[in-house]
Amino acid sequence: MRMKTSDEDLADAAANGDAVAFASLLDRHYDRLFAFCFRLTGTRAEAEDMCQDICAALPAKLATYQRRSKVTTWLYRVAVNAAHDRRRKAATYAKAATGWGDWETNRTAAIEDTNHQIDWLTTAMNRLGPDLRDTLALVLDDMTHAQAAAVLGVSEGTISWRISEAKKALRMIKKQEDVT
Amino acid sequence: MTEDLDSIKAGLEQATPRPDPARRAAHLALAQKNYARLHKPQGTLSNAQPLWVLPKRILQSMTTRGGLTVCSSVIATGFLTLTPQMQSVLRPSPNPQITSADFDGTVTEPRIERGPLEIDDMRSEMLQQEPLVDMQADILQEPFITPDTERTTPPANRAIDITNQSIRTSLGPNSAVDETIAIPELLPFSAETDAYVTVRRAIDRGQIPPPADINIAGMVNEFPLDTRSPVAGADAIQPIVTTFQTPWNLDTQLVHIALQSAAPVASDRSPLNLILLLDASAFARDATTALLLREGVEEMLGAMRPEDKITIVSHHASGIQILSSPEDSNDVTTVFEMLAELGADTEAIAHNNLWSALTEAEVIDDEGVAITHLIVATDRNFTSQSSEIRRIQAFTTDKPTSGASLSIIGFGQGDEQDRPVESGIGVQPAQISYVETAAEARRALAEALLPAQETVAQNVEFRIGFDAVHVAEYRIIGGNPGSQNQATPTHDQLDLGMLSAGDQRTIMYEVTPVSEGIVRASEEALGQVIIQYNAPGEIGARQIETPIGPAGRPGPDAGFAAALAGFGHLLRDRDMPGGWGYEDAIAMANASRGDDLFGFRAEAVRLMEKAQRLAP
Repeated sequence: MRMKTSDEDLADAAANGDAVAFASLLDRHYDRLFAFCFRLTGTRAEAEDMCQDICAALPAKLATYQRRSKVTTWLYRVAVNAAHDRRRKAATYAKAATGWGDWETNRTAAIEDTNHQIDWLTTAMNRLGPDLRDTLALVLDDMTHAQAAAVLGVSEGTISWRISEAKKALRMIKKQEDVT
Repeated sequence: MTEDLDSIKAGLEQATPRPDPARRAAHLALAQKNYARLHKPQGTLSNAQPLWVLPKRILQSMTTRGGLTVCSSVIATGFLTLTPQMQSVLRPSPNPQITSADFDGTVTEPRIERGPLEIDDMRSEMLQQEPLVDMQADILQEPFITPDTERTTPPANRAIDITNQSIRTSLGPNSAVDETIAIPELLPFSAETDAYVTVRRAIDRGQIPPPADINIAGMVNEFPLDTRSPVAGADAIQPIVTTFQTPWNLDTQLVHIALQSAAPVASDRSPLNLILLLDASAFARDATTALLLREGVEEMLGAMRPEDKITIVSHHASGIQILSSPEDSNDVTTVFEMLAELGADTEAIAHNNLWSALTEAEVIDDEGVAITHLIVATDRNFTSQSSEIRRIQAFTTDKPTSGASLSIIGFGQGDEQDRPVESGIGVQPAQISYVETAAEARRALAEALLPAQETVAQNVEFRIGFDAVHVAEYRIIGGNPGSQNQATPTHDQLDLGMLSAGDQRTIMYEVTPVSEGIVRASEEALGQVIIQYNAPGEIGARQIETPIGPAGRPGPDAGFAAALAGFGHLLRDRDMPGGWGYEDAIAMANASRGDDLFGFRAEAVRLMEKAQRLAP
């Protein structure tokens, strides 16, 4: 019966002290949240750490949920903020940590025939820079430009511009690849 | 639209792993545990906890709207009695703040967190309560002041004798004796506030900045004036005073005072011979940063004259490469294609060979033409390494770069905390600037071409006097939230300190005319602005007097400043008289763009549009 309840009703109930509502809301969204964290960071370990941070802080952040936005939008926004925090911290230690993915792990983990593709993906994502990467992570998660704009707190126009920049960059990488 | 993105989408889908079931369960359990703690009735609070943790805890434990309403009022009252300096307590960033939400699963221990999102939202709840609204008015807006009926000219008309440590005040021509009297401390006025940057960062993060972070006077002063700077030779400072109808209040008028000192003229400068060093690693990793740099370089090349020479050098993993020598056509596209290619091989490279790369560079030909400028474009991380900056500074004292002016520009987003201590880092002063937007990039690179700026006026004091016949009351706009100095009873005098060539300051007042109709019909001045300053090396002050004319139409500078001030008020107060809203601020800013040399105003309009969408 819970499953029929809308995300937004669950969030409201959770904010008002319904522990069961909170549990089912998080259970419903955990897998998507994890996938999104992975797309933001490119490594399983980072995504797991982020999910842990978010899960721990979510009960307190629930108070900031406002009915007029969708739960997924709000949740992705929490995730994007968590990713920004991590990047900012990482940036003070080493520049490399702000990149996407992990060359070595990905290489060894990947099975032979997808090896090249994962290399390509890691190269491409790193070339894009954090803003374009975050935008792509959202839009490729089947979010509309308007939803992505709401999550990132930018205008729809900025999303469209970033997507076209990303496409341009990807085409350039492809071109370079074809040459070599 | 996805055609180009299909491969990356497929790649991402393939690469995305399933969550590990054990971790998933652990994370869900952690969330439940924290949820249970928050929703369990709180026990008695430990005495050891700082008092400001209290409101947060109560807010967290009472999540219904009714609960919030009741306890916010209680908290607000508590704050009033406990902390007179309310602003610093309410301000969530950039200072670390103690909250009780913790990521490691404990909620009882305070932890340091930066600008947490929930604080803002809770404050917006709190601000709806009566007690805080009242205080906000007291703290964040200057009260109106009634002009002194005894006096229609600005206060104390005095000359400053800089040869004497104690300031001597001449009481005017009729005074027989000069006596040394205690002069009330002037309210310091600083244009270097980052006020607008703070607001922009918050809005870019999707938050309306907290009221205490909105310094309207500071914001207005971060925008370059559109009015061309005065020609050197006349008075060192030129005030332009504009009076016009307050856009959001029919009962008041705004007085906009723009002060400008004569700027160095580009055509007067001797031919440039500059080296632009681009840090490939900084720009290859992040396409957005590279675009910023490109904006700036294009602007800079546009500002160069035929006799100027530029060498663009890239620094990357395997050394340095000349991207464009003085003989080349300086085609920006070619330069950036080369930079992107070089950067593609670049793993994280250590910054510490940037300096040696420069010395190895064959870019310095010995044709006897001295290098006049060295501009290093890199990222913010580099600028936090003051030892490297010192080495580059040392380089500018070696031949043939001796005496070259050095500009280091850090591109990309970052925190104030990343910034090095800019004073005392070296032999030769370096101009270090930070760039987050295209407009900042254009300005930073254009200003890097200017010669070092000389001081043109010292001990600059600003005084304003309103005529009580015409003005019922007045107040300074935006005040100076950074200053806690409540000792100065009125804001009709400001200490502007020192002005360099090309410096600009904007000061705004809101005045209530004595009665509608009279002032607008009258050609009489509402009052007077007096600027006093010492020219460098001169004893005795100079004085410039400018009348405050009756209301007219605002020019681009006054109009834009009003739009920005209105925008600040909207962010702060949410409601404006007469339903004046974001669309009005945007329309007014758009109508007042002027030439907008570097594009700052266009960017501000975009920020206003973004804030409009965020606004409740």
